[in-house]
Amino acid sequence: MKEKLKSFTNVVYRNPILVILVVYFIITSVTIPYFFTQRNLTNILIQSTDLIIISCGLMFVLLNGGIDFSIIATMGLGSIIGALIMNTKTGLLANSAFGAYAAIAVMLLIGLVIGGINGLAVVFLKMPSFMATMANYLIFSGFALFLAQSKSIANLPKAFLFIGNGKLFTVIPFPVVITIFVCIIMSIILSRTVFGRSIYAVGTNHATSFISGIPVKRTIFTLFLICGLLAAIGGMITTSRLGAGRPLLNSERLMDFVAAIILGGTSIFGGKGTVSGTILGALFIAVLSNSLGMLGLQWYTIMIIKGAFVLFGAWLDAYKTLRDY
Amino acid sequence: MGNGMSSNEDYILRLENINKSFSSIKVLIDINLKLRKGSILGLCGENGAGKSTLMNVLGGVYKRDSGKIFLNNKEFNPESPRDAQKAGIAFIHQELNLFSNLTVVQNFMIENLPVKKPIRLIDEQSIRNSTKKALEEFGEDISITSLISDLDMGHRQLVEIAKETSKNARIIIFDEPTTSLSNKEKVTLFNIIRRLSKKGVSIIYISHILDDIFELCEDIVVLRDGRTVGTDKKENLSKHQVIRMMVNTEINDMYPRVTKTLGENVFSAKNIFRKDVLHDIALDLRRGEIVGLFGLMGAGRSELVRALFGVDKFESGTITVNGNDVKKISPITMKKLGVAYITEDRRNEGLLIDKTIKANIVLSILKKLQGRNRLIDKTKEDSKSSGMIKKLTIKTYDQNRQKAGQLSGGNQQKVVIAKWLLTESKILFLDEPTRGVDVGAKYEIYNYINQLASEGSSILFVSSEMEELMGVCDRILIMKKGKITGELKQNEYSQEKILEMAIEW
Repeated sequence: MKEKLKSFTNVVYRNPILVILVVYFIITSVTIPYFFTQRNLTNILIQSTDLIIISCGLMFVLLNGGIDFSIIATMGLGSIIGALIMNTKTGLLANSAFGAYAAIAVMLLIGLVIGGINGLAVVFLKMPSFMATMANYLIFSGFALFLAQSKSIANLPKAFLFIGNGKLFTVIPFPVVITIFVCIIMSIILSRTVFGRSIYAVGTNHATSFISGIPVKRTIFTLFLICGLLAAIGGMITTSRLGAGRPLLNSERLMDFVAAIILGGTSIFGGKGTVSGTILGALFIAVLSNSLGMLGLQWYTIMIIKGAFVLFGAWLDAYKTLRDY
Repeated sequence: MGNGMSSNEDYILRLENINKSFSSIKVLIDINLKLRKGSILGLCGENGAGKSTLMNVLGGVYKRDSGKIFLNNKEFNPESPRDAQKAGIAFIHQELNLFSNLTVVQNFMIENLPVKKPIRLIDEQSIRNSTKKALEEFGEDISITSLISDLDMGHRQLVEIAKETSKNARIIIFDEPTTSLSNKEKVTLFNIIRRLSKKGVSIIYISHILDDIFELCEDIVVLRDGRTVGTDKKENLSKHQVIRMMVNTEINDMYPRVTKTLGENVFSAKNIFRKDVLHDIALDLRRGEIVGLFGLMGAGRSELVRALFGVDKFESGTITVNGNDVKKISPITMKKLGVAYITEDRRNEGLLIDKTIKANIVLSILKKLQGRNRLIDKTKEDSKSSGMIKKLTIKTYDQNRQKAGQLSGGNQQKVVIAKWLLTESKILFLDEPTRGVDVGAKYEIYNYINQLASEGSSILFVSSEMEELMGVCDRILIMKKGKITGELKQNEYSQEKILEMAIEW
């Protein structure tokens, strides 16, 4: 019994987000009417899909102790260029059956290109990721606003709308399928490949990794590629769900992404973090936003409450680091 | 002291029977040292003789285990560096304590900024005046508004000395102050030190450059293995006498010997050159050979190994492994060619302190752990890691839980060794592999080294401890100022000979 209790407290200590999520979920299910309904829960699930994917991508950069603000630009620019290509009224490929597919390819490519630029700036120009990605955020978001003339572009083709709204076998929401697929791949990469192990090593200590014969530069560069690619996929889901290309897509959610990662146990100092933790963190943020919204709270109140939780997560990280020594 | 007439009144500082241990290792044993008022005392000893520890005890950095310190005949018990500073003891370190991105005047009073009432703004005028005054005393023309980074090393040191004396230091301790100075700068420094001594400031001058000690100091104290082995006036000593005191003549049987035959050349470096650091270095390793590399602090030992492994870039030179020229010298290529490198800086470059023991051990063979599906084979990972833990008797309660940083120094070093043994490298560079390691683990490490060599590995063993090099190596190379200045075969070993080649006369 004592052993069991000990292993239970260990689980709690290692995965506080799991406990927080379950406890909070139970409390809201009991106290908020209509929260625990199939309709609402499906809603939460769908709304958390892009959050999960984007946060997972961003987590890779945080694993090296970095940050990527430019994901906002990646999503906005992708959203606009994609819409410019495929919208059924004025799009470049408005009448082509391949319009949606071409747009998807271009959107993914934009993610890789911006991620690549970030990676080059950080690895070869030795710029802090904070500055490099901040600058790229300004540049590419500005470009997206210019292309869109600050407007949304609607009339997206059906094939593209399926990404965010469709259902597989008429029951499983398609974005959930994408999310599960992406998460499984990312989780395997991180925990079971040489590249994944290298990420943790490099994120913990560049010098030791370099001397141990790990390709430090290539590893860091690839982190930004992954972050860009996953932001592009997430942005695609959001665009599809909203049914319109927007130049500042998801820009108001940047702090949600970071919050999900930190609450999921990723250390901002690098070297620590898991895909499963980030998924739980993102689910918690989604449940929190949804439930507080149902209570009719104002957005600023929600902001304050989210902030308090992030503060708690960051404190826990610092506390654990201290306690281990 | 040679002068029996002196009474305790003449000494500004007396250290009596100072003892200090770290975990179970005795670093200082019954040390005695007396500093006469206004005199210059030279403190010499090999690396690791206890000079720095002694000064850290005096400076309040470490607490002594036993013994007494008298400052002006009053007992002195520094609890922190600040206590020492308040008592008028100042340190001039080898690496200067100046902020190079600030100006001279900004550096000057940084610990103790004068403020003006009523709103406590910094009194810039008063700082400027006192800085000028302090610098003028040394007669050197330094603008107080110049950036520290724009000054040469000599002037930087002067700024630091002026800064310390302006705080009314009565005792100034110089720790290897001339290592980064040119000859001209050295002359200036010595003049300043003499002037300080004339003004009544007492000086402790730590150096391994005997020439400097004999030129500058009045009294000489020699430490060896944490003991005071010689204390006398300069006139009564010769340089050779001092070297003999610094050196331990008896070698115990700590070092196991194995018989083996040496094979062909497996590694050679030619004309390695890195500006201001390495000059025209040539080096060969034969199969089964253990080559020692000795040098005093700042000689460039670690820098050389770092260059050879591709950690630091160098301007020119060639490296050949097993007869083939290495094109792109980097840790990745060197590892592929079967070279391993155990760094001097275990915490920051050898280990992932924050990661588990297993994660550390398998770090260098991640690729070899891949199964057919390109994923890491966890069973293989476990068995490789626990195999090494058993082989090297690494003491851990759980390789999946315990972090490298939670191990003792000896076990940490074994983890680093395990990491490289797994690569099955045949050429090993070991930089200070026994530093911070207790005696038992040291013995084990010597045994591994011998065993590896007898199995046909070649080892470059870098150390600042002559004794272990003489005990383990087939031959010893000696470095000084970025050059290899000599080589000794096993039958020629003597600490005197090594030191004579290593010391700057």
